[in-house]
Amino acid sequence: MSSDESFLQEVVAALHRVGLEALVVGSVAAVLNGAPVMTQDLDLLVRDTPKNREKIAKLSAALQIAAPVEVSELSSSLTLLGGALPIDILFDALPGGLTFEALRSRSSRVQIGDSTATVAELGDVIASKEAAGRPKDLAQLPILRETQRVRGALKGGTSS
Amino acid sequence: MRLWLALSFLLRRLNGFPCRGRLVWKAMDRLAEAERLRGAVLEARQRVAPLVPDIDPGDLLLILQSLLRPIGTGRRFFLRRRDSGGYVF
Repeated sequence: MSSDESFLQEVVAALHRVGLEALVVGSVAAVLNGAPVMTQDLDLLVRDTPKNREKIAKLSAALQIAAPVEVSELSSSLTLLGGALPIDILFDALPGGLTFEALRSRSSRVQIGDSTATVAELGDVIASKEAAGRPKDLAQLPILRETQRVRGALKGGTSS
Repeated sequence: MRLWLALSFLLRRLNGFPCRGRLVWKAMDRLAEAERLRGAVLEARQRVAPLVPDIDPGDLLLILQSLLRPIGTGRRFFLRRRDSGGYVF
């Protein structure tokens, strides 16, 4: 297991310990769906409730990293800094109107060492990046779409 | 003194052998795993390539390897920025 996979396993185990239901989204979800991309942080989607806010504080303590900080005044997203890599916590929905419930209904469970992560479907990762429209998202789209086509071809014998 | 030297030599040998054995075993294990992945990727490419002729062959190999490689087998996907400004993974 690489240090990246160990980091992911550690975070997922900590999520289970503090009882925080979170979906792995963004580029790490794409990686766990088999896409050959790289990223600089881990994005997690959670429901925005007072209880979950408490659990996020517990999560940073469990990972022995600094307390969550707001990404900006215009956004409710939080970042956990001070660990091996930044962890971004997003609330309720992703760009493109992708709600937590909708994403979870299409998600898959991925085993990482001893822990199981709930991971957004590749199609949803693509849709969220298309809607976000930032240059770094757009740059990843061609290889993500190709990965989705290859997956389709592997499963069903078609490329769509 | 001689007894101490003999004992320390014996301990080094006892500690050293199993360690080397494990390393050799791990390397063989990795090689077998790599061969299994290679076989799976080549078989999948043969099946899938005609269905996606517009995808660059190099990209196709990269995607298939990434799709078929099990999680927890040493994949790296996080970029880290160094103080010097460069990126490493």
